[in-house]
Amino acid sequence: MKKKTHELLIIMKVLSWIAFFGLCIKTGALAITFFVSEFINPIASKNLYLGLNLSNLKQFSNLHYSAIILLLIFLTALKAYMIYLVIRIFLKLNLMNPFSTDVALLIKRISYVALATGALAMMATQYGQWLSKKGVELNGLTEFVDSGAAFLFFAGIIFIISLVFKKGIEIQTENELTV
Amino acid sequence: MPIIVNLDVMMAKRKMSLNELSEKVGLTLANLSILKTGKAKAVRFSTLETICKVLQCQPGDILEYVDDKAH
Repeated sequence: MKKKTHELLIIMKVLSWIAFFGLCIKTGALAITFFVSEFINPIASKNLYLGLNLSNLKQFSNLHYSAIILLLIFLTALKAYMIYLVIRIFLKLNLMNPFSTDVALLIKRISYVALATGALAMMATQYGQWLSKKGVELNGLTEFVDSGAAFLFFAGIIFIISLVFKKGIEIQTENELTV
Repeated sequence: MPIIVNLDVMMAKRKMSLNELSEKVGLTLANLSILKTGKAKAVRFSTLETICKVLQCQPGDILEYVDDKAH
């Protein structure tokens, strides 16, 4: 059982690193294609990242185009940061004494980042819907912006877990000082 | 803390070192040190029983209650 848990943790650590690198690449790619579409060749807006076509939006208004792209970049960066915090938990986690202040702080931070990500995702979705009502075609944006509600729910769950973890620290400390 | 541990007093009476007590009781030196210095939050009955058996004393000889105000 112990060996299985250890192996599972290794697999999760590897998957987290892969997800982190993937999100970093996504953030970087979006940033670079945005820069290219703004300062080098506007045609880059036709395929910003895996089929995301905001050329119509760019023609409609450069300000809204920049706002949406920056929102997407920030959103992806937040997700990458969240995965980075998860990786830090894996690095700090000690199964012999799992309840530590460092891990508790990281869990709390993840809940705050998840809350920000959820709020931002909902904002991006609403913004996209508002632009669509104006008659602007936003090809691929809906698939690109994840459901904000899911992140908000996730943030709530993680916050509750952080409270339980805090109690766990108290119990562990008391147990360590019991002879 | 209102509960004072007088383990060193009993150890001196029985002329027993911390190492010797640790071996006989089955507690690590670290845990015994925690108990001796009054940093322990709780003591198991099993531990108290073993200490009393080894030091040939009563729990009251090791544990003493002192009112916070008096302390």
